[in-house]
Amino acid sequence: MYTSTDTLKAESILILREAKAKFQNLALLWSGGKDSTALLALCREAFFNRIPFPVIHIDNGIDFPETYALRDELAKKWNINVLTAKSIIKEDKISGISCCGANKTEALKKLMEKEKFDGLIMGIRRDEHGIRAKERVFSPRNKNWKWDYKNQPMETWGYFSIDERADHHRIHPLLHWREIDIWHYIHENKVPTNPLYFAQNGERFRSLGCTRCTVAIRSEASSIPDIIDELGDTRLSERMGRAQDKEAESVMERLRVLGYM
Amino acid sequence: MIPIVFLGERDHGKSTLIGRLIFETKSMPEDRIKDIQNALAGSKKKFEWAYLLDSFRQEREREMTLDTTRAIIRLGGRSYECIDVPGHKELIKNMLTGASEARFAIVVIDIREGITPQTLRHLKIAKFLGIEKIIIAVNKCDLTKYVENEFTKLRKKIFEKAELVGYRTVHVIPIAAFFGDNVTIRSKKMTWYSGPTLGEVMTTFLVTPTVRTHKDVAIGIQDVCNRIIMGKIFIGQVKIHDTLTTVPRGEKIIVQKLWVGKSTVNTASVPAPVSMSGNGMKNVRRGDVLVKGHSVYFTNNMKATCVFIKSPSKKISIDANFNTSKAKIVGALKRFKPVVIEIILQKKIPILDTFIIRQNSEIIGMGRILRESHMHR
Repeated sequence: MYTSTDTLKAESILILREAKAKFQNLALLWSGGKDSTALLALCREAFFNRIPFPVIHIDNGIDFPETYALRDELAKKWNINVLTAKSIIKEDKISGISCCGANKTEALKKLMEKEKFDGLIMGIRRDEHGIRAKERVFSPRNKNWKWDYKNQPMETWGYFSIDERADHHRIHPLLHWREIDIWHYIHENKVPTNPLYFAQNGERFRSLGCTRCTVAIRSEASSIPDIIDELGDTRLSERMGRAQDKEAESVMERLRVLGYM
Repeated sequence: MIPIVFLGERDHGKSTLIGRLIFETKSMPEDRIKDIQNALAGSKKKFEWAYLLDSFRQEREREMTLDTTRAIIRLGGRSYECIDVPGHKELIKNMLTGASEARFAIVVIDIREGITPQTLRHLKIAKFLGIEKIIIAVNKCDLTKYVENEFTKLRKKIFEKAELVGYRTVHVIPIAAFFGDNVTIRSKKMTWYSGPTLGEVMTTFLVTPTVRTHKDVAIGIQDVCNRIIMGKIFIGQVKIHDTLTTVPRGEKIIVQKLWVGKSTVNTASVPAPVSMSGNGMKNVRRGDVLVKGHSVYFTNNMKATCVFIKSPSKKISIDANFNTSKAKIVGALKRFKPVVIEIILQKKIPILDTFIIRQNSEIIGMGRILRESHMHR
């Protein structure tokens, strides 16, 4: 008998193996958060304990110390080739669309131009945001890194389109997972976790970005089972502490069109 | 998680119905609903349930769904993944992307307009995709003043059309999604209707998709690495010491070691991603299918039902189970509806039942082999 995580996992592994077969030069984008770390663990399941492509960390210099520590621990433990895309925070651009756009996206662009990656694997999920719910599994970005969301390719029955004119494709193996599924998977597979997710002094992070844009939530959940319990009856959204998600100015839509994650 | 696709003509109220279901089942975080309401306060727009789904600025401005999206609702102890698709004919591509993963469908029909050509097209495509059960939600009953006769007349036509398409057991429910009549709460305006609400039918009728058990086995090979072959089980169950035959080369292989993910196992079944090592595997490569029994077609000439989203050019290819062949289509065809055609493949490839059609690397259609035309596999 299969658990629901097994079914989700099977789909993700299928996607990862298809990506490896169809793209020449893949990389995975790791943020320090639970989703991209679970994604690394899934890669190890898909490719027999190896991670057969480099892992990119976009480092704007103001990530949490816990995030840097986890990155170094994983790199050593799982033998990962980590590439850092350095970005330098400009003081006048430190919130929402201008910061994520100018800093993170630009830093990634530079690295991509240098390394010529044609596929970028990342851990976004449909249930995070209305805009992300519209994504494809293989999602093309054109020469200007634009996401042509009005004309997305067809995907069906586990087959994915490839746009030969694209600059690169974003590959989304976790699109169908929910926040709670990720925590179940992390728990079942003992995936190393950023300690910032666990409550200290009545606060924890539910979604992790850099130190500037991420706000802690009130919580007493200090272990993974606690978090799963908490999510079971929460009526608040996962990314409520993330400034770039607010609907008012269609921030997420504008960011993603420009190449944001 | 039970995936359900919402089908029907544009403006008949698919997104509104899902939005209302999300609201009544408290399935969206409150701050996200608030955030959407705040965003609208700046514009002149009134809040619509559909905005819980239609996230693009343009979708809200034009009041239409452009692309498929999904939302999870909890109802009667189960989780349903509601797949919203656009109703426009030109957006069948996005409709197919969303609908192909569903096992059940809710078809929304505006009581004033009835079954339009697009409704019928969606019904036929649902049948083609293999959607097992459908519920019909006759929407906007408020606009015919909740009159019973209007509903009864339409219901008769719905039964006829549904049976024509191939759906025999069909539930038809009068609703007004915007006001929440008969969505999960019984309508006080339609006391003449004694049947179940949409929510009640969902939790009793759309419960468990049929699980087909097979004695046969079919495993598609995706990747080979250090003599370990990795693939996906499409049909049946594989055990250690099983002997399987490779298609296309017809060689026998014996499974000695078996993994699901990183864990060693003795047996594995659908939909597990498996890895195997053993005897006779040295020629196995991506695109092969390992079989027991007669579960795959291996042919270069087939009759199939297909749906196209683009008129194909001369150069197309067929993909099935991680394999591919160049191909040619015989005869003319129409887009956006199921058509029966003949396809000639340049080389034989193993096909289970279904395949997709590519032009360059883009998917332009999907197909299903007509069983009766291929008695010999």
